[in-house]
Amino acid sequence: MRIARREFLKLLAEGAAALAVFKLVSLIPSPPRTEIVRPPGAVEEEYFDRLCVRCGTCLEVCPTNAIVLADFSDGIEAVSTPKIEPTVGPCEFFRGRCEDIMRCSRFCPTGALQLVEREEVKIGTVEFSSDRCLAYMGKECVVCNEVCPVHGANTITSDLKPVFHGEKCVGCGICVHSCPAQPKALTLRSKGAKRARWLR
Amino acid sequence: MEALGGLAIVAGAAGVLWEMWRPKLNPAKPVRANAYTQDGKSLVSIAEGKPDTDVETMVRHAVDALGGIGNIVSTGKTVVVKPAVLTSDPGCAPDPRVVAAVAKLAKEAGGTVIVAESSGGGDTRYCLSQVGIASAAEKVGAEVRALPLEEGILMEVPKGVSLRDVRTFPTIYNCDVLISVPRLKRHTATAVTMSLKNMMGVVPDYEKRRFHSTDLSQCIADLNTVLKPDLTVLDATFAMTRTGPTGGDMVEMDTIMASGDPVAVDKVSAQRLQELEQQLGISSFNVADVRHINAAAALGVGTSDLSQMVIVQENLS
Repeated sequence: MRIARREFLKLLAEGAAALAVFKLVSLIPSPPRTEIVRPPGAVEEEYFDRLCVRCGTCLEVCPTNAIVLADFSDGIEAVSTPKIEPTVGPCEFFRGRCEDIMRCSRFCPTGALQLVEREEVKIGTVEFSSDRCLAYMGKECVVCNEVCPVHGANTITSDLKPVFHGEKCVGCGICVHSCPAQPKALTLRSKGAKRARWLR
Repeated sequence: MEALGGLAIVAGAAGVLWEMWRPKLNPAKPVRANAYTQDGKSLVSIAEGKPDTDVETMVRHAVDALGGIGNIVSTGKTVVVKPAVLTSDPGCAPDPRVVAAVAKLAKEAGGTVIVAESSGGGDTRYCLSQVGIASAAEKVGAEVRALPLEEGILMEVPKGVSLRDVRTFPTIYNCDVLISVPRLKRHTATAVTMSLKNMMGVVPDYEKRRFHSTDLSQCIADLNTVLKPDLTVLDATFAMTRTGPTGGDMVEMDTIMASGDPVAVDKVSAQRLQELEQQLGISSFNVADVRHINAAAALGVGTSDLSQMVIVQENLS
């Protein structure tokens, strides 16, 4: 194939312009990438970004649809990478349909999600706002305690109010999904997440 | 003038669409009177066995002591057996053998048996298979249905205090006989969870959320005025003490209780649970203060007055 000099220069200029636009857009302030809640078995964020090819396999195999694609609010460079959204579905790696299976990590073709032991996984930590909690408003609700699969991550005080113990929480988001308050009293944050090591 | 005509057409079309898609309010499901009474008093049977007593035998004795399943099930009736399966933890669900025995009894009486549930803490099909109820029920020829796969239907609650209407599932709305099979358990929010609280599992998840954010105990009582089980077979082979509905300590009781009155069986079993906890020295609850039992009795779902009950105790060896 032959390309005229004029055509070649035009293409080069277009490519440079596209790169410049991309760089400029990425300068728009976005939340730190480490705040994104990644699926279980995700490698450290700096490697995750390079390994994830945005193929969407993890979304397709997730039985609860807990994995959604990150959008522009998570930063332009993270667009289309997977993140956990517990309001859509809880991650059942600890108890439920994905127990000891971890489909997303098992099917990840590039190793951005690594298959690790269940005990090694901590997706994040649940953040609790007592001002939105129904129990703190005097209603009979301890749903978060009823559904929590981790022993000791959620306890109930003698006057029936839930208390969260972040160090034991695995971040599965089952409580966030079940919380009946509007807006939800629970939010899943990436704080304290245990990331898998990428073995080169 | 033409603009007005256009507006009228748009408004008319919107009206037609709203009429087509608005949720239809169905009349309340008729509640049958208690089929197991003696001189107008509610019968409650207690079959107490030994650790090695066959569970099916205990269930048979408990139901036969009331007068037999034939009082409510006859040939051609659709029977829904509703186990209390909150999560995939086998301890918080009733023993699969109890569910299978109840399904078998209803089958023998000529009914078409469906084991149906809508779990609050996980995927219903997964929970039912994980606790062993799905395979046990299928073995005796019952159909297993995960209710959340059905589209809900809106139903009136004429006697409701907190609820004016509630959504349920077609399987429950259209069945002839409803049998509740809970386990005897403590509950952190409502003190105990037995037959009345078990009916939380025949409404969709968003209704459960609504109950929790309004007045849970009153909503449970209101729900039981329209969806009242015709028979309750309570599994107390192992009871969950100290806390619940998940993560409590399991204590062996080797008992099956049955009644046609959900309030009566809840009251009697709650008393047993309180006595058991006092023996074990666990800080216990007070049966007289269990709000949903009192609210259900006030609405006339059943009786919580021990003088209005006849308790039949059978000791099996």
